[in-house]
Amino acid sequence: MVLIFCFAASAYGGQNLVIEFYQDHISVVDGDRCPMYPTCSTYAKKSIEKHGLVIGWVMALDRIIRCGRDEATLAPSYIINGQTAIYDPVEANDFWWFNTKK
Amino acid sequence: MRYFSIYILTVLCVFTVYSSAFSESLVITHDMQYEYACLLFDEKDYETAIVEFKRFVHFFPQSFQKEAAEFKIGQCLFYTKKYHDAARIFNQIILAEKDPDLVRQSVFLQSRAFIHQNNPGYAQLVLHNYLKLTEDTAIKDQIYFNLAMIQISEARKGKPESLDQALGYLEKISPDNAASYAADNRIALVHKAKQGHKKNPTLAGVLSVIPGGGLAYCGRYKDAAVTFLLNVGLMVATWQAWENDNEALAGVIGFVETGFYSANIYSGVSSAHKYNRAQIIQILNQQVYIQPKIDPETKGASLTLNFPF
Repeated sequence: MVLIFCFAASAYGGQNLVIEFYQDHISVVDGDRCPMYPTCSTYAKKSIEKHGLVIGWVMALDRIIRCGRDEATLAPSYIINGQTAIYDPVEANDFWWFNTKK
Repeated sequence: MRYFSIYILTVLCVFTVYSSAFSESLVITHDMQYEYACLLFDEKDYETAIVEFKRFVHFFPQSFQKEAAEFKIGQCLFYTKKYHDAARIFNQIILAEKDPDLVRQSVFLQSRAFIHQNNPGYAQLVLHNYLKLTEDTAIKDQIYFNLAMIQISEARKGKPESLDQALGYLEKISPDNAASYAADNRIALVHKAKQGHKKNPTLAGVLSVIPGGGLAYCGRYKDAAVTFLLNVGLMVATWQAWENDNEALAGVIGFVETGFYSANIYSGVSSAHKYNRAQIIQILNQQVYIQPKIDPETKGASLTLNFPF
């Protein structure tokens, strides 16, 4: 679902209106079950904003593949709103090729 | 009426003389102002200390302690996490070159301020510039140590090549000061981090030709299984849609599958890098040195717990 939203976001000039629609209207009904922080939809939004549609989309799908499971034992966890969340920001997955300011 | 006016005037005169005789007046001297500002600084009331040090600089611009007061302002800004402003103040002190000791302290604090601003490049530049200017071995050693720490911090962020540079700086520390910086222990630890068990990102990428291969190579077996099943499922779905003459559906599923296949390769390579970074951090964090220390003045002995990085 997020995949389709990520792709459609490009039609809105990178404003990610579709992801916002998903977060505001679908995820609320569907249920907030993502064990990661930021959630997969927020991660997709941030990765597209940071790296553009193509790489952002690939990174979003990479996140969906890794959501929960092995990442839970490898990445640090934090308690957010009373629930344990696996901390996995965009920076934890692009550090090996994307240079921040020096 | 006349007597009443005289009476009122007399009372007013007496009251004025009385009040002026007993009211307190205070002249703030140079030392009083500086000491008060320092007192606030020592009490860690940095916001107020900044105001008082600025007042000192304003009212006593010719003071021999003006530079010291400005340095204290820089320190206050640093401790209140206003790193940009702190770096600017330290830069003024460095450029003024009046007090060598303040310049030295400003260089190291400015470097730290840049690190806090996530700007290790400038932090190193400041130290390198000072390295060219100083002849003092102890200061040079301090610079080498700080440069090594910056490189190790970069290695923790996922740049393993920084360990080589860290090693280079640690090896430049003079034998006289090597013990105080625990240079030998740190060199051994950096060597250990370099030689630790690593995953090859290129190999992980190549293995990802089979969906999930790269993830399995990095020990992420659950992710690998999900990736394999997802990609194979989408490939089969694309094929079947095509076979059933449903080209449009095949195109859509194929497009989605292309994304997941690319993500599988990205995941494999990324997992290898993340694995290597985790290994480096784990090795650098794992040791604590316990150093015995004897103070010749107090003739007391103590044990120092020394965390390497």
